[in-house]
Amino acid sequence: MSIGIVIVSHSPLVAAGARDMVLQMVGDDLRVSATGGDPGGGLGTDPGAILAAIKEVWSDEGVAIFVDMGAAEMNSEMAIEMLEPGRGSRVRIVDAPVVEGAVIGATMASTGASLEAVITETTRRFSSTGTVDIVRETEPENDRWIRRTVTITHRVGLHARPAMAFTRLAQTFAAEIRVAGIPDDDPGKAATPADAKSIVRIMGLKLKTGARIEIAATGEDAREAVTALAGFVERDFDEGGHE
Amino acid sequence: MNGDFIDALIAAAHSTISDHADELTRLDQAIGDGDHGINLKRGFDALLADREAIAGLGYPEALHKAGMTLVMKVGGASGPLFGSLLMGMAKAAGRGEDLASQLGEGIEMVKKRGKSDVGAKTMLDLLVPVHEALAAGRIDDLPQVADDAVVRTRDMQAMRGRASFLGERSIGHDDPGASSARLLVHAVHRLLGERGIL
Repeated sequence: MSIGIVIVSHSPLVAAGARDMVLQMVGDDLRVSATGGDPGGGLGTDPGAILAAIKEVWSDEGVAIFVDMGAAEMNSEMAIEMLEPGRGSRVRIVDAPVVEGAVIGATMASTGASLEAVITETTRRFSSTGTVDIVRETEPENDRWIRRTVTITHRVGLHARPAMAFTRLAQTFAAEIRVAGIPDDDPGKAATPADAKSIVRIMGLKLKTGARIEIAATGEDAREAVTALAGFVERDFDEGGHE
Repeated sequence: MNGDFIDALIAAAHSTISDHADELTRLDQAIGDGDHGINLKRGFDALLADREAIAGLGYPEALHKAGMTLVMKVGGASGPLFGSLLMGMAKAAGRGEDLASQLGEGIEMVKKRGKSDVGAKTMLDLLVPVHEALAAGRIDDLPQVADDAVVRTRDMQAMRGRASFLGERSIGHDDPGASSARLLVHAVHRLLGERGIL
């Protein structure tokens, strides 16, 4: 069972809208609940409603709560403390922007990521300086790497659902696989590559429609992996997203 | 501590918050999100509606229940903060400790809940000096200590909550949380005096 996701905003509309985004971008079979507004119906948060939202998506694997600001965090803490004994330790408030955090958290949850993994990745991505923190990796350099360049034609780019489908396919191969965007101003050289099996790293590349990417792989099934992934990108991730 | 006294405490707290709700809201409009008075009034209205049930409990249980009511009904940050204050006090009261120790434990809960401490322009800037005066037995000074504490928050820059987004522009305004805590200190002190407990 995947972890549950709870979205808490001061505004019921923001909370519901963020949940809509998650369901449309990631998939509607996820455990995602949303709550917003104070007990009087104004802007604010309500610990009783947050408690109900946690219970609605309860998973023994854990629940991640994404909050917008201040009192939302405090009232979420109160709700966690009101859970039955033993359950509170399986619920965590994630330090990330509510919409982006929920989308990424849910995307990871859909791939079966643990609560700890979701927290580590989302927190690292949205560090307190507000910058996106992508760990730089060394570029593959020796001859055993199989490489191929393709252009992204899907209308949302290598993002959201396509990114998830791409990383899922990559995960089916044993090979080490990397993806790098090729800068327009230096077409001869791929930028710093990211692990093709990490949804967070791939989304962190922010590859839009029209971007050229290099897919590189090394290992036993490297050739099959590159062929499959490059074909997948060229076929708009098999979902007809090209307009 | 009998039920009648608890009932009177709730009525006194409700009355002062209710009478000053607009003023608290105006303070909050200056540096916060402008709902402090409205939120607190909703919480204390709920407390008043529940006064019979709460007054029927023992003192520590009544404190805890009152705290929980504020947590559930207030909605803003002040709900969990005042609620934690009362629930912390309830813990110490349950161990038979005196009012100063109760307030001390309540303050620790507020610090933990708000991840804050004195000097950040919050209710702690009022609660901590009031606690010090209480612990030193300066009972008669409590209203003055509370008044002075609110005035001191005026020159502070907010480090927590929405007001902190204003940075230096939060300087020059009384802190709404310290202001509502001041009202409660006055109300409780007045009631204790009337009852001849002090």
